[in-house]
Amino acid sequence: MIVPIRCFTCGKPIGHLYREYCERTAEGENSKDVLDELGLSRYCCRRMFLTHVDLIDEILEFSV
Amino acid sequence: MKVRFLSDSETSCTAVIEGISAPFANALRRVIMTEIPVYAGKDIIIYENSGPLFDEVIAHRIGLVPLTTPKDSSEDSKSVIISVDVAGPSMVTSADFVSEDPDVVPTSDGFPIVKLGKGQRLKCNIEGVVGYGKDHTRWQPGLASYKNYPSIVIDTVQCNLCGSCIKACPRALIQKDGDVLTVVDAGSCMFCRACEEACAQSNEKSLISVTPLKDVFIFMVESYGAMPAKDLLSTALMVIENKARALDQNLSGA
Ligand code: SF4
Ligand code: SF4
Ligand SMILES: [Zn+2]
Repeated sequence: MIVPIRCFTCGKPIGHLYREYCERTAEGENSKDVLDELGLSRYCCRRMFLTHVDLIDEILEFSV
Repeated sequence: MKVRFLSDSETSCTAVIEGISAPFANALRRVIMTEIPVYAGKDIIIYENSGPLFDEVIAHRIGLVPLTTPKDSSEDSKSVIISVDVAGPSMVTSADFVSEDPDVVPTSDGFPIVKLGKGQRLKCNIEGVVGYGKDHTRWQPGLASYKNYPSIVIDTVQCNLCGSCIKACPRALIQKDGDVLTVVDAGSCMFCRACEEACAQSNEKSLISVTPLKDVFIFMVESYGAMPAKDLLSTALMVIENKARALDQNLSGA
């Protein structure tokens, strides 16, 4: 849906890094290098970004 | 007791601590993760939310945003009101949090809360309260872990410098230095014992032995931003001290 604020497993705040991750990987940088540089060293935090599907734009037209 | 810092930054520090026991190291680890008083959003009053996410989801996301915490905050510290009022189309982030206390603010401006479309609005007040990680993960100020420091002993008299152990070590910790073997950066040994196995295979018995030292620990602390990593250590020790004092007072009164 929208990127989680913290890693589900270890609790590290990660949400504020997602935009930079997206921008840099879109420019063709290797995901591994970006994750390393963002300080996401544990694999629990890395999978948060690697497996995230951002759907917020699809549901934007619906209000609660 | 001896302490040597291998690295020390705002967000993480690593120290080699000599002369403590595993139970004590574990007590320190648990207190760092569960009993350090830090601020986090507790009650969220939503006045208007016409965006795509439900109130509960928004409240949950806001609660998990880490807040900076002034030194010597305690559960008696007053609560802080943070207000948010954003009209779409835009992304609501922690940069939109307006706090009444400049010392209690999000640790980063970039936490995305919700994306708003045209005509949608999010207006809410957040009550930041001091709490403990044992009650909810939003008050978890960081992560701590430890491992034993290794003792890697090589029988230099019988060693024939065959080099099997050097090739076997996945972290390349064993190096040949002239006609002796030396161990570099022993702290990153992971006790896989591949070196022992390789040596035992090339020779009759292993001439190299890796054992965890029972009273030397590599202690790693990672801070999530409420306070510097080193302060987490000192605050945790203070929490343990206060608990011991409270118990002592009750003992003498009993
Ligand atoms: S135990 Fe494993 S990591 Fe440690 S020195 Fe031996 S081979 Fe290397
Ligand atoms: S494998 Fe054994 S004999 Fe060979 S270099 Fe290593 S310690 Fe020496
Ligand atoms: Zn994680």
